[in-house]
Amino acid sequence: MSILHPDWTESVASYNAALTRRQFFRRSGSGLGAAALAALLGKAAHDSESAVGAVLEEPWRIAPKAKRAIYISLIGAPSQLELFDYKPGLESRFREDLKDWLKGQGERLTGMTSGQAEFPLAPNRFRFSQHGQSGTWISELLPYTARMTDDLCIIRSMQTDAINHEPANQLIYTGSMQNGKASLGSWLSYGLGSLNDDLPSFVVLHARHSSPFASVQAISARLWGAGFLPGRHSGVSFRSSGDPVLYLNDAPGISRELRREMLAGLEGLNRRSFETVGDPEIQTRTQQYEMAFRMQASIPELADLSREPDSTYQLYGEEARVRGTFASSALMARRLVERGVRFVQIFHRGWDQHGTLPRDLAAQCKDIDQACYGLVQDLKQRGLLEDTLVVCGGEFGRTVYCQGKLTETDYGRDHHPRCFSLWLAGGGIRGGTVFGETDEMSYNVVRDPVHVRDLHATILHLMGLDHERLNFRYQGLDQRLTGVVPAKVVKGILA
Amino acid sequence: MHAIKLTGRLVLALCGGGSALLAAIADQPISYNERIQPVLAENCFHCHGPDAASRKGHLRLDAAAFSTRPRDDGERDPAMVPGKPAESMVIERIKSGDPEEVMPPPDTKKHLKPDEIALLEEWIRQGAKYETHWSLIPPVRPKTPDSGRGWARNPIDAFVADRLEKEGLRPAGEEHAARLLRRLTFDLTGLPPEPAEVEAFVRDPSPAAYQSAVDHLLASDSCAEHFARLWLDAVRYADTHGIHKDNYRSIWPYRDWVVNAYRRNLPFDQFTIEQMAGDLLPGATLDQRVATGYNRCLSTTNEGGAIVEEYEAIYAKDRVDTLGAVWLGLTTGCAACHDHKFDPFTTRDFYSLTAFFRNNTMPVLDGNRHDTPPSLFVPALEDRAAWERVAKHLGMCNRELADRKAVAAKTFEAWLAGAQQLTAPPTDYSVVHRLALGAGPSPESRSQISGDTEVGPYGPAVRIDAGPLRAGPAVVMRGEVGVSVALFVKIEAKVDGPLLSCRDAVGTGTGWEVFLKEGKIGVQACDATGRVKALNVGNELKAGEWHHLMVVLDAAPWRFRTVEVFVDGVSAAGSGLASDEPLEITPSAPLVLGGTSGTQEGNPHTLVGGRAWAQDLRIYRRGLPESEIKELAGEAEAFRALKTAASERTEAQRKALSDHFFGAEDAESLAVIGPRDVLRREEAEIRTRGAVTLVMEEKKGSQPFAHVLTRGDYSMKGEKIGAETPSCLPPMPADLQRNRLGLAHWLTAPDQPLTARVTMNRLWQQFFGTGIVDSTGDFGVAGSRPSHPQLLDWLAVEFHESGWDYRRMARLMVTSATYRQSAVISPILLERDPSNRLLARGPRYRLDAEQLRDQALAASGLLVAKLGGRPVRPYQPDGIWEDVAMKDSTTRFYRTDGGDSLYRRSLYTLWKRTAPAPAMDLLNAPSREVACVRRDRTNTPLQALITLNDPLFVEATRNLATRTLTAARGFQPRLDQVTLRLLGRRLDPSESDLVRRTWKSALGSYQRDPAAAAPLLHVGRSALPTSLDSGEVYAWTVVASQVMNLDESLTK
Repeated sequence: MSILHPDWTESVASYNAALTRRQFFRRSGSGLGAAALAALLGKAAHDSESAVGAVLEEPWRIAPKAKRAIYISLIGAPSQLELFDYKPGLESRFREDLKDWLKGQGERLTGMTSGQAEFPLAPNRFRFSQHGQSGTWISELLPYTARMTDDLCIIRSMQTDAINHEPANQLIYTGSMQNGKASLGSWLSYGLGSLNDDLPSFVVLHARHSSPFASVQAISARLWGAGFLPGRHSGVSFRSSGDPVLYLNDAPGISRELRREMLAGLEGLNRRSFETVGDPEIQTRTQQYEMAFRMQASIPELADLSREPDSTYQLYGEEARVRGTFASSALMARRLVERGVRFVQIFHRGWDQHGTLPRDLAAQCKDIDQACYGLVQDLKQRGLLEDTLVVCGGEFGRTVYCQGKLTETDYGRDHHPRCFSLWLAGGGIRGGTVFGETDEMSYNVVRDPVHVRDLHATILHLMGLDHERLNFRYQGLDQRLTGVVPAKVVKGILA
Repeated sequence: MHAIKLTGRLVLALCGGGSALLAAIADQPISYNERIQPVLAENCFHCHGPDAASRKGHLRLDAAAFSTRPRDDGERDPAMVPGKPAESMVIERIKSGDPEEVMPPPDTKKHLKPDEIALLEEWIRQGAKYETHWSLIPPVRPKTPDSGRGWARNPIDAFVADRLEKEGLRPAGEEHAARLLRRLTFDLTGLPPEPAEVEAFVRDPSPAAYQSAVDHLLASDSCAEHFARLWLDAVRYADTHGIHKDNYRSIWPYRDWVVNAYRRNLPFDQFTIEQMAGDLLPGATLDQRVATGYNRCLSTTNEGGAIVEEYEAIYAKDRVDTLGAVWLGLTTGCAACHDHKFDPFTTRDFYSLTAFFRNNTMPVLDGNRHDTPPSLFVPALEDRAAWERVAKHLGMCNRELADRKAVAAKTFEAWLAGAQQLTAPPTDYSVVHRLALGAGPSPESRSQISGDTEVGPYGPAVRIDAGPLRAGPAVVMRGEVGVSVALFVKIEAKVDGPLLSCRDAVGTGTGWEVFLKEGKIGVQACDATGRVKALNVGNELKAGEWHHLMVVLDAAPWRFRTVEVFVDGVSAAGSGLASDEPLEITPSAPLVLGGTSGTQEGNPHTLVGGRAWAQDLRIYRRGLPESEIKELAGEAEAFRALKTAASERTEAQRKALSDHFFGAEDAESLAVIGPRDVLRREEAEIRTRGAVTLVMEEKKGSQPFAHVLTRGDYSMKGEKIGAETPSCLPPMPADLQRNRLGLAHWLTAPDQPLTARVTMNRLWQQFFGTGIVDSTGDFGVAGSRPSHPQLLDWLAVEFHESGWDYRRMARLMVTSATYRQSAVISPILLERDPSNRLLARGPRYRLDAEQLRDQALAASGLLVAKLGGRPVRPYQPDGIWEDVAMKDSTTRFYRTDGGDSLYRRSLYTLWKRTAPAPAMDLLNAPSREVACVRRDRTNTPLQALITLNDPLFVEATRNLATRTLTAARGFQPRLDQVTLRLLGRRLDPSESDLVRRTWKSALGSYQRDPAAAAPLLHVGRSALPTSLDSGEVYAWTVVASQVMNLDESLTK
């Protein structure tokens, strides 16, 4: 068949897809074997995107600095003022009404504080001190994090467009405030393919917060969904109760041996069906059942933390022994990347401190501090840190003025999109650095702003993907994680 | 120079390459739409297309008016000189070797292939003839080709055969009868055929057999359910709001409307009009208003900080995107920020479309309510007649009472002149328990009453702070029956403690309680699970005055709160919001005044801090509506009014006195009130069985409008514009109103080129897996071209001319020879046409998530074939909702239903947007957050785990096993039972041998260790027949699971 047969009236995208497929067939032989192989690589029958994608050298691939990544998502948006963005000098301005000053900022306020009669300045009430060779200022709320300052690059100049949790989370985890987009992890899976045969390439962990007072925001599957990308790239939630992966355990009363025999029979029957019908999808099906069988063995081994030595728990904290805690999720994340999972995302909720911030933020920090340290050190000890990227942060920042009642010891902070802090470590990151700067109120970025889309461009860059070329044709557009507004790789944080 | 180059290139290509393309262009006119536009769209339109904002060098290449004339800066030559490629700047630039000059610029990382350049040159040589984009040209019925003789069964086949002949291919033979019937049954009903149907069909080779199967299936309720499910994907139907709290939303009557529309085969134009604008139809019926729920299916928010204008813009875009994907096949979304890059669809077009949906009364913030207005009460189908009768009769009673009031004004004045006190409370025949709490000990209150009485509305009242007073039996609250408890109270200071309590002192404290906390009124309710808890404190109760208190416990679907306290007719405290699940509160403790039945740690056991009195406690076996609560509360006002001098009485006080007189004292009125109360009770019962549904309602007194938003930013409002349809499409006739109704009529107008094509394409996709245009939601320039353009046009015209008869078109497609082809694929065909775009074989692909679950239910006999009703909650692993939900979301906890609800068709499963049912989700069901006109279809190991291990599938295989064991004896007949149900056929001997091996292993496995194996038999809630041999049930369960997991079972 001619590539451009007169009646082959498909779009250019289909032409290109056809070309890619053909090149692939040529390279790896011809005829049914090739088609079946394509199918075995995971290509769905009606999937116009070529699964070969991940195998062939795609135009978006560049030299990677990291092979895998762990993203710790602090849902609810931790305050930068109490953790990483030290603003000495505000103590003396306690309760100063910022109402008039705010008018000059031209910033929209959320419906929660826009009606406040006054906007009293609430200084951070936690102690900061300098750490590491870099002398970075870190809050007393994060004593363990402070110990690894020299491994971290702290960005103090993060910026987002959204002022509320739902759109902000969608922006930072899917690149767009609109529904239906593909998540960061699914883009990585799509762009890089899998590193292993018996685990998904994108795993999501839900870590429990321990404080009963935590102000919890909702999250949804769209934050780790595949959106318009083929569904196999969506994140697979590992669960903190019951089977780690849904329906992983065989039905009660079915032994492993019997399952093996049943699947052998299944394979035989499917093979006969394939011989009659000729649809390579049948072979793929059998392969997927085999992979499911392997996952049934590999995942319980993976999820079984009991064989970890005591030293592990000393590192991550004793609560790592309790399934579902942040510490155990951090440990699980290490075990996942160790086994070739491309991207692990840990969601930890409860960071939305509109009130009683001192009490509640401290509790949240306690949940994650030691385990974050443990994770980074553990990766380092195992030689994994150099090609594993670790990111930790929320979806926006918090206001310098108080929400609700301000007292000497208590206050709350509203949402603030114009600046927030976030840290990165590992593959390709210049450790021991602080990037960007905010004004004396931690309200505006005054140096080196990093928009969420710049963060995305940088993460993709580190993982070996050109964010401008990594695209997927959908609804007539070449969809990209970083969208249409130009985004830049943040060179200043690269090693 | 250029000319020579061109010729050389062509000659070279023709001689050396022998490419069919270049051979073809040498002697055939080149179609812009088919050949040139894709090249330009891919490479040039981004900077030289319809979008003015990103246009470079004043150059537009998407129409002759721009590309072949001098540009609007007037200085430069046209980009194209028709007939003269060598003089055309565009060719020169494309071929330039200079990186500064070459187009597209190197940094775009795009470049034209030699074939494409040659095509472009030849097209310019032929005169650079542009054409309107194919999908914008109204379809005309093409002549049916004279192809496929002897094979074709209807015109569809002639078009398909025509293409196949050109490709040098032949259609496949007809599919084996049993497989064909299975394919057909799944495609039309989403369910597998019954074995008897298969047997009968296979035995009857007459052509009529297939026709009659098609007709029978198309007329079935299952068919309506199946078609409706696909529509619900498109319109993003779900049972929760979708954003933030993601609370339950009551809109399922709309879902049932869709099912019913398919049952009635409602013509597609009417189907469109009623959903889009049923409320605007003259004399709109209840059903037509329910249909407008279409406009309410979008995700909404009530997040604390949400900015109204921002969400207004988001909703508007979502609605236009859905209209674009479902009816127009246009991707409109990009035009929210800039003119479309490829299609002649401008930002102005986008915003004038949004205007159609903006003139309504829906609040932007949904209030986290299940019944966010505008909403409508919909009685259950069987109550429709009674509902109308009750409404009519209630109207009659009320008129009579009003008349009596008018004529008896003097009687009232006479009574008022002599009235010392209210002698009796208003009568209400729906009161089931009453305690006057007047002077003297009553049986319930025993001797607790101190002498310290106080005069209440109806004479001496009882003091209740001296210790708990038994006031009646336990007041139970259940979904089916509402309850209201009313009384008058007076406190003398800020009192603390339980006022009215019906709560167990032990365990979880099941029950409800109205309490006072520092004088503030509060309510608390707990069910037996301990998970559903409501605690809410409202305003202060004013000391020193008599108040009317009403507690309503009612989980009727139309209620906003299931537990609510009213003080003087105004809601004062309540439970969390209504969720879709009925609360059930069954306290064992009796109803107690001024205390609790037992002690609860930390809380006062009785009222403390001051004295309190109560009077006229009454319990109604129905949840009173707010209007009636206000009527009763008026008694407190009347009581105060009587103590006020006649001359100083306010209008409200006079009204309260009049209401009291005609409600309690006037015998003639009481004669009407009796029957009225019976009707009210009936009304309440109907309300309990019915539902609320979200609808659309136009704002009165204003015309639809919108602002153009600069770069889609809600805060940058530009020009104000009215509602109008896109300029690239046939204009909306002047006599159509610029509102949703006008829009709906325009969508289905005869000259509208898209609606019929897009709809037929989607229907085609439903049967063949891929549309004739495979980019189902995009018929624009950047979308795919139709594989069979003439066929698509023929279908569109036929559809329209048939009176938009959807069922007729479905019948046409499934009775075509094309559809009936065998799905067997030869290696050559697979290489040649892997995705079956040429249709040289029948469709074969994995079933949808819902079909797989429904197949398991149907084959096992578990399926409960009930049509419609509130969403159900079948089994789901724990924690799916809690993992993502907010603490006070009404969809935080998943409570599995019991009984029939476990085995309904998947269409009825409650759809929570932020956490869809996992088995559906993993099998590619969309999240229903945005319009989905085409599902992804992957093949992953996680899917294997579902069909192997999900308790529903395990339970189904066990039921299939017991069914089989009962129906047949011996291995082979039993195996036939299983495979006939799942595959629609019997296995051949070599296949049977493989299964027999599994069966033996399973039997052996059970016999070796029955205790270890037995748990398999107890998965799920359906009963296990005791008469059967457990080993056999076990072995056949494993066999059924093996067969159910065959590719052939999972595939149509």
